[in-house]
Amino acid sequence: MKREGIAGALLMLLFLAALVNIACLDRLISRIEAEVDRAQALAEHGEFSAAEDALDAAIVHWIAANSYTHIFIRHPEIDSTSDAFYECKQLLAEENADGFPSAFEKLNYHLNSIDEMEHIRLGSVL
Amino acid sequence: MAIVFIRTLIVYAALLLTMRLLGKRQLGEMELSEFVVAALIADLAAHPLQDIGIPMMNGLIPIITLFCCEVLIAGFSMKHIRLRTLLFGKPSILISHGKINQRELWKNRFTLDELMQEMRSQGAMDISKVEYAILETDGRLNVMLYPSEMPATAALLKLPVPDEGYPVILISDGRILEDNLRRCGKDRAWLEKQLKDYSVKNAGEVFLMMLNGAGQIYFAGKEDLREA
Repeated sequence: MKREGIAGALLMLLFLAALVNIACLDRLISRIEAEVDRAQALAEHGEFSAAEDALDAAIVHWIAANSYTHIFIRHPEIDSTSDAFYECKQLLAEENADGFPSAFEKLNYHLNSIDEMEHIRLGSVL
Repeated sequence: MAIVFIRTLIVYAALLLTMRLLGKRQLGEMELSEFVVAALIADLAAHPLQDIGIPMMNGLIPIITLFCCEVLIAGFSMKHIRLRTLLFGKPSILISHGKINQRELWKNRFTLDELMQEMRSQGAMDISKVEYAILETDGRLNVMLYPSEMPATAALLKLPVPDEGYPVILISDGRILEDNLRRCGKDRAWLEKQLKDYSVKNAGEVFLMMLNGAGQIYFAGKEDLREA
């Protein structure tokens, strides 16, 4: 039964690692979303330069997590999110008041999608 | 390109290790759960190789998970007969005392043609001479003839048969297998003497040399293939 014990322990370990991964991803996305929300709020008040700085901070965190995200998240998802970040940044730099809300919406959608992808829900399992 | 290459090496190593740990049975005769695992593992392993946008983990984690499940199921089914029956089924007796059990044949979706084909492949042409034909859980059909129809053995004929023991390879394609030589209780000096008796200068000129328990030697010298 030694082999079975090791296999059972390995399964438990994998499950725990999956839970830890969800927690890590949650923390990363929450942190980035907070910075993105702050950037959006600043942009809504017309403070485009401060909004760009806040978004840069979010981008720095996103890029810093590159090695983690590339191991656990599908690469097309990472690319779409990065594109959404730079689209927001460009609109903020242009001080485009009409364009940035939809760009932020798109960015939030991608971030939520990455976060929810790993969550254990009936919908995501089935 | 490099990523696909490295990923292929990793997946290949993971597959080899998994199949090795699952045991030799996996390679030849597969039970239902083993077949499912083997088919799934092969498919799962291919995805991260074909698309470098899929993280490697998406291929490796399912392989490890399936391997663990298979080890657990194999282990528990060894201990619990009911679980074994539930997962792998029971052997079915398709022929009993020369009579075909049509109900079992139907239950196992085994056609008469398939039954005859399997029997012919095992040298049984006449159903009336078959005492039992058992369909095993891995899909193989074992045919057992009536004792009167079985080939005569030395034991039945009460013939004395010398036990020649297991033949051990001493030289394989010019290479001396030192471990086997020691296992037979022989040494290099003995081997060189034998080679001399066969008019061979060294082991490099020998294709195959075997020694059985009765001390008999099988010898095959190397042929010069350059002329062929």
